Amino acid sequence: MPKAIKVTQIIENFFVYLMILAGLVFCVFPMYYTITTGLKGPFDTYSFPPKWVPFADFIPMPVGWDNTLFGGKFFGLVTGVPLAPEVIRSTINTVIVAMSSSFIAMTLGCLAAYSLTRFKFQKISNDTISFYALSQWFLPAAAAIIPYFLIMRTLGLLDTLLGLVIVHSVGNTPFVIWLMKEYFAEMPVEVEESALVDGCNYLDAFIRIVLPLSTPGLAVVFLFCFILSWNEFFYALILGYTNVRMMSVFLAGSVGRTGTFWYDLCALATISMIPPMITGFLIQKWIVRGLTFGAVKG
Amino acid sequence: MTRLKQKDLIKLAFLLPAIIYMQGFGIFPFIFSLFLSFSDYRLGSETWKLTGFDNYVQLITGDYRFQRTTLNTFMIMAMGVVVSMSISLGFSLLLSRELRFKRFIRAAYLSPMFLPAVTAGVIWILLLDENIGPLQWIAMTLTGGIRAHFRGDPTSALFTVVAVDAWMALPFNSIALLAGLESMPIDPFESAKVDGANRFQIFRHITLPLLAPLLLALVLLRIVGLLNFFTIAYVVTYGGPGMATEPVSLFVYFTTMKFFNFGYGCAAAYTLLIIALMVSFLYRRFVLGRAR
Repeated sequence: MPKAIKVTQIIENFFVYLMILAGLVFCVFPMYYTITTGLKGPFDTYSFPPKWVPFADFIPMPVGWDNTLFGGKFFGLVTGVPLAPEVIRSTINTVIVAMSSSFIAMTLGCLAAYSLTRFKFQKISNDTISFYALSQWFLPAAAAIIPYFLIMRTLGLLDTLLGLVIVHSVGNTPFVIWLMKEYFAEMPVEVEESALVDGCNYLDAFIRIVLPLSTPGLAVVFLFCFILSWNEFFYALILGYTNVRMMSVFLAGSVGRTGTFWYDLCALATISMIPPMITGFLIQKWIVRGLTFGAVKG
Repeated sequence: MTRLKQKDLIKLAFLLPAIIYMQGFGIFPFIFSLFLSFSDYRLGSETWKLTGFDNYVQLITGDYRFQRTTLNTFMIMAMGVVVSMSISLGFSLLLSRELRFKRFIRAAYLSPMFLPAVTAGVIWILLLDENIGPLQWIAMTLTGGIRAHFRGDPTSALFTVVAVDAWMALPFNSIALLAGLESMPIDPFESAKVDGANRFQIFRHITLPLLAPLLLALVLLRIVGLLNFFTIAYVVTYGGPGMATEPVSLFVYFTTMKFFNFGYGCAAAYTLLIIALMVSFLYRRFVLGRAR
């Protein structure tokens, strides 16, 4: 009898690991294939059946990386498009916009989150206020983009970094409020209270005591905002088309422009996924509870 | 007394900057676009006037393209929710087991979590390429040399964009469901085992009901996400072939940024907004309301 159980156990484990393997391939293979295609030379890129494994199937020949980073200095331009200056510019644009919009969203969002966790509002309940903030995220971007376009045109901010910074920081503020609210709610209030008794004012207590204590949370939320901004496409497409092309817009535009120069496109795609992947590994553990907006507890 | 006053002041001083900023740049555009949706404003035209509900009437009764894109949005939504939620549930059940290399497996499963939508689109265009894509090779090997048209055929193009979106949504939903599974109380499971329930019964009568609130929350978040379905349709198929994969948000984009018909585009966008408001109401009522 115990032996029979063991056999079914082994069979079950076999199927479980088989499914795990299938899931792994499903999740990771697309990225793996993109990264390796970025390393292929022109001939290996277009071979069919495809080449799967570097060094075993094909010898890496980073034409695409050469084109995207050095403008084809090493392999010559005959095999692709010289993307280098634009790649560097759009990366810098994206970093500037992501950094500044995250900074603004963090500043405003943290203050509001602190206020919502430590004080009680009489006329409108705290829950209503924070839901009002969240509901902004629920609203479809398509309905906001037209007024944004007109407002930015009136203010002369169309196709400028500042315009995108504003739009991205507005979009990220609700996230900051919700994520930091959870974080502040779990922090003990005693330290601040004793500081307040010692004659510290609220802003001092917030800057000198609360913020330093919540550094890990701040880092996670900042990285998350950065990634949201880095990934954002819709607003970036409409509000910044020529002067301030963002990484995502540049990548999407390259699909048509580089045509079938897949090694160029894959090198570009690899660049665009490096920051999100690194950040993802750093923060995924912390972010889930916050991102389900009150649905996961404990 | 002065202390109390100071407290009142300070809490508003902390809260208001964010609210004003979000109000001014966040909510005001929505009011503005509601106003525009009742006008025939076109970018570049000198004269424009309010036309009442004309835009909406035209959209609902006379615009085949809008009807088609609305249908597309709903189909993408229905398929996207079902496909991504069921696979995510499967993944999370797999990952919640005792496994060797647990940390590695989880990290690998979750690695596409924060991938940009544009990048995901590019990746899948490559994989599904009709001449050199690996999936084309697999399809041809399986069918004995028949070429598949993943993006070229209207029906399969719709499945393709749904699949790409589901692939992108998997990591987040899996890890959220996993968190839900791992925070469950142990007692009901043990007493069910004592009572001799089999695994399916336990799943059906204990796991699912306990997971239901979280599932509902994730489905609602998913619906909101799919209402905004834009990037993948833009990158992978550009709405085509024909209008087969054009969601409403892409219709709004074409109407306003290609044909500069701003008033009309706002009206189309507002139909999305009404659905989004209903979803957010449901979220507040059933997800946040329950938490209190």
